[in-house]
Amino acid sequence: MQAMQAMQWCGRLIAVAIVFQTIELLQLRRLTRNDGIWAWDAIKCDYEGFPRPVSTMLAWVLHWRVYAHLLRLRLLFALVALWSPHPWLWWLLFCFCLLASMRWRGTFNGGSDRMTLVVLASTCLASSFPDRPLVVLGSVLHIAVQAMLSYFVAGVGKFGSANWRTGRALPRFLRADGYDPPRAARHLLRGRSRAWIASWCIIFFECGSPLALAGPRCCLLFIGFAGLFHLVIFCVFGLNRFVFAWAATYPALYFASTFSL
Amino acid sequence: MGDRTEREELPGTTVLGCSPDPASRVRSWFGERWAVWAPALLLLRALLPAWRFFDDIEEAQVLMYRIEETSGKLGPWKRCLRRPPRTLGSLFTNAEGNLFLACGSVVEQLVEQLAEHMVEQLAAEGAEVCRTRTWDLRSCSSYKLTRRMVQDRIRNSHTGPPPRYQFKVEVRPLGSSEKPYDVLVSPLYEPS
Repeated sequence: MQAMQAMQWCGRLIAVAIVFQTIELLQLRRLTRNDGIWAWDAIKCDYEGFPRPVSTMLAWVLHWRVYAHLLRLRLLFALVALWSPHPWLWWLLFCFCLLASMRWRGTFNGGSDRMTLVVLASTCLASSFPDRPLVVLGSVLHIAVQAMLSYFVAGVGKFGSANWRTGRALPRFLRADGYDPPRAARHLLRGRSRAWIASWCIIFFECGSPLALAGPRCCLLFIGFAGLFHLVIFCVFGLNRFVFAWAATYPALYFASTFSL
Repeated sequence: MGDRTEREELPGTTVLGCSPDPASRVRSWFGERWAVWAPALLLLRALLPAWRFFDDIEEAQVLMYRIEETSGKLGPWKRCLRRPPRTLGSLFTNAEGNLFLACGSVVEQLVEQLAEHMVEQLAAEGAEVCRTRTWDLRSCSSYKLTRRMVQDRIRNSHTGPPPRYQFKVEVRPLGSSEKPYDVLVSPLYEPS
């Protein structure tokens, strides 16, 4: 697989992720109206830290009427980017995704917004300089390293936590009201030993993510586990956006595993 | 219920005198500027990859509300946020599920802001550094959003004339047998 080919696949997959993300935001656009939960009046104080021209521009762009059009355009551009990717489309998508994140006070779904922007930023660069192999290579490797780090940093964080090492953290997340996992998941991890085994499986998987770069076979195995991992996270915690945002990084991860200087 | 009652019941409104010490003034100036810049910088956090997921959890914050019944008494506390059922289609688009998570994050931020302010206030009192800024929790976007969540919930679940309402954030310790406790109880609000 060539670097440009990997980049194109990352671009297509992130466009799919953006299509789903935008449909979700369009379904929630009523909340940004003046009588909705996320009305501009409720959040505008957060934007006062920007210089006056920037905050005035944001106030106009993120007002619910303009914001709704912005989302429709984002959906259209993501669909077009699927078939006919063009540098300016990626740059516009990057800006629109950043603005939508800001409308939701930083991020809508934490890590998924961040990974979407990581992939989009690299896609913007690579598509803007397609005849510069180093830029394309750097962009693909940037996605691969961020994807690997996303698992590794999370794994090291868990390893550093006594509650994760003893298997106490996982049942607590399942008990927390913020996630409300299905009954089956709670039942499956009811015993302390089961929770301990599941916790260590997650820690080993996440901390072992650098092995994905060891070779194409290791990488494919890792991608298989990672896909399963994200599906389980969706079933248990309902985090669907992670599935598609992270899937967009796998072509770059695979390319990096085959890459040699 | 007037504004006066709200001021009496809500924690976090502080007005202190001005410090004559120049160093304290500089610290205070930066502190105030930072208070304005910080929320704006947080809006750009999507640009900064931070890959720490599910690190640890000690307690869960639960947003509760109650409404005034026809008898004039306040009804029982009810949970405000409810997760919508998950289907196979939610894998592709899960708008309501993600909204539920976003609302939960707002409540967490509200509790964090409140805790930060308490720490700041204690530090300022300890160092005898006086603050000139008035901090009012109700002016924070997370408080406004939380209040709007409650209003939205009441609007969607209550028939008849809109009642007066109150909300609170309850913290439930997950790792110990400690009982849940309230970190914030709002004043009684007039129907909106």
